[in-house]
Amino acid sequence: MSSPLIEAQGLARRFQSGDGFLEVLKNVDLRIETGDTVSIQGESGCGKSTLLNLLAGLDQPDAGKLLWESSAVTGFPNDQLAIRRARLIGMVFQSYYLVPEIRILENVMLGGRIAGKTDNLEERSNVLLERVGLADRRKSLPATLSGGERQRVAIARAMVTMPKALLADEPTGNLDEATGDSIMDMLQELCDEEGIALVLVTHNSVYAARMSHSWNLRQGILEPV
Amino acid sequence: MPWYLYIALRHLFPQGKRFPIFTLMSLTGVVLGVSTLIVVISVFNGFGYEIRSRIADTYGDLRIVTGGLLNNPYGLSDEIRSLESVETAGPYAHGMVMLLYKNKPLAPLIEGIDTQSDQELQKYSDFLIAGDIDDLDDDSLLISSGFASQLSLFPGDEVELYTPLMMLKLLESDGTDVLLPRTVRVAGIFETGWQRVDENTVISTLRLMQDLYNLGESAHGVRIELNDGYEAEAISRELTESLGNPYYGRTWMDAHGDTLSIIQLEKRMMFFLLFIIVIVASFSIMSSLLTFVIRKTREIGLFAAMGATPRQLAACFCAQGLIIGVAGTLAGIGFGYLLLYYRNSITATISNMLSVADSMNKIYGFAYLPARVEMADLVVISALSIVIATLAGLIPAYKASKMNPVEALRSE
Repeated sequence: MSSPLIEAQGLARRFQSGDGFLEVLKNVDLRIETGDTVSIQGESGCGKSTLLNLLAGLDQPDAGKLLWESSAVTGFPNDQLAIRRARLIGMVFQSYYLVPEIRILENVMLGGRIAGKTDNLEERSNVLLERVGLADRRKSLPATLSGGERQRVAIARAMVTMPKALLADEPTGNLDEATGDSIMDMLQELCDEEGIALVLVTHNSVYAARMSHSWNLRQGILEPV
Repeated sequence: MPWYLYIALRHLFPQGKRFPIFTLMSLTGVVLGVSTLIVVISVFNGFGYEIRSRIADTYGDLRIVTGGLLNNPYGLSDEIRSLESVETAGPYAHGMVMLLYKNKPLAPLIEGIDTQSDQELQKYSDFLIAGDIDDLDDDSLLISSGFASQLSLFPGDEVELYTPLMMLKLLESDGTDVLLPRTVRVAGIFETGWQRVDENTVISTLRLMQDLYNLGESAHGVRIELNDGYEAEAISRELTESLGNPYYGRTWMDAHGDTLSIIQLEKRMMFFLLFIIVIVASFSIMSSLLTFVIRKTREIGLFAAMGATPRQLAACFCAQGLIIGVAGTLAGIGFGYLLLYYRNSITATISNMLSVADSMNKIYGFAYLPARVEMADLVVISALSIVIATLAGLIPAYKASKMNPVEALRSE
């Protein structure tokens, strides 16, 4: 068995709720290897996004350990964590989060600039925009794009850093079914081509079924489907 | 360019969009503060410079005196004139006379100048508004414009001069002598633009002053103009040392330093008072940036998710303060120069509207608003404005850097 890209060991996370605590994640173990496709399903508010944020190192667990490429990163200073995250992980969100003040090409390039991967950045960004079918919109502003187009740009932005894992938090959540399907096809295709591990948080059981590993999060416990 | 600087620039000046109102308001504050400071400080510099140059034109940059009479004034003038830093030097004598015209007496200051010096004559020739400098001889005077208008004098008119020496002789003779004034002609009327001189001064040849004051071949001192008037203090010290007792130097600052000191003091006070505008502008920048940080919370979360470090996030917002400071300062300098360029039209319009058109001349002795931009002032104003604007970005930057990425992404 190869060493995992991302490994969660007994992760727990709880939040203050009134006088007590709400345990959102309890002793979660998860192993993601190169090229894996993983889905995480669950009811709204069950902690799927919390788990994804913990895996991305954006949040710190109350207990347990997170390992990136076999080295523990739990409790790392924010600066070091951010630099390692930029190299390892790309993220796609339900709400796209494009920067409205800059054009599409610059939005895609921004991912590489932040990660410090500036070699052939413009060329790679253009290739990715072509791959997501938006080559002719590279000079447009985000406000002029539809929801589906914006999500394509967000995917290109996440891929431009050549991450080893892509964490997608309900990437089709704001889109109609047809657009969602095309986004999912494209996402899977790109990850397959580049050998990127895909972790998909979704409500959609059809999309979840396409993944090689499917998990369900219920009452803080992660169970295989 | 680092991404955080690029984003800072694009937040302030977005691509393909209208200029954001928050950028405009923040910039306007800095532009107004910087331009006002530049205009006011430059006008104070202008007053100082004009007064200095008028003092230099009339008093000279430096005078060598003994406290009594100078017995060999031309020899000493030649010696001083041979120095590299000296442009011209010539003897002078000064005092007070009573001038009578059509039974109307006035007591102006009189200065006898070295008419052998072409430069000295040329200077007064430049100031002449009536008459001819070639008409100035040992029986004539140049009259300042204010003085001439008080007595309604014109070139060619004859006036009578009485000196303190004549009064003394009359007193000593117990009234047996008859007081005979010296009758002289008005050769010309001059105007330096400095009211202190233009109101109450007459110019004669040194020979006439020597006659009036019974000085013989002596003079009261040597008047010196330097290649660089601001070197007066240093050259005065050098000459005092090299010429030895009883000679000593007296600079234009020694004679008229009070006026310039007041201007310097006023300039400093105005600088501190007007700098408050820049400080107020910085609060406007801070409040705009704080609002902006809140508006951009999710974007900050996104940058963190993409691998931005807290320090880079802070730099992004701090840079916005810096960019506003730099852009506002540059625009402020430009606007300040524009105001200075049209200052006389602006002041004339305001004076006419307030019906106080002549007040500037009456109060300050200038027919126009002088201004002089000094590089040192520009550097101080620019540096302080940029630093203050950058500091204004620190609190919003700190707030951005301390945001929890997860909460930022979740924010509505």
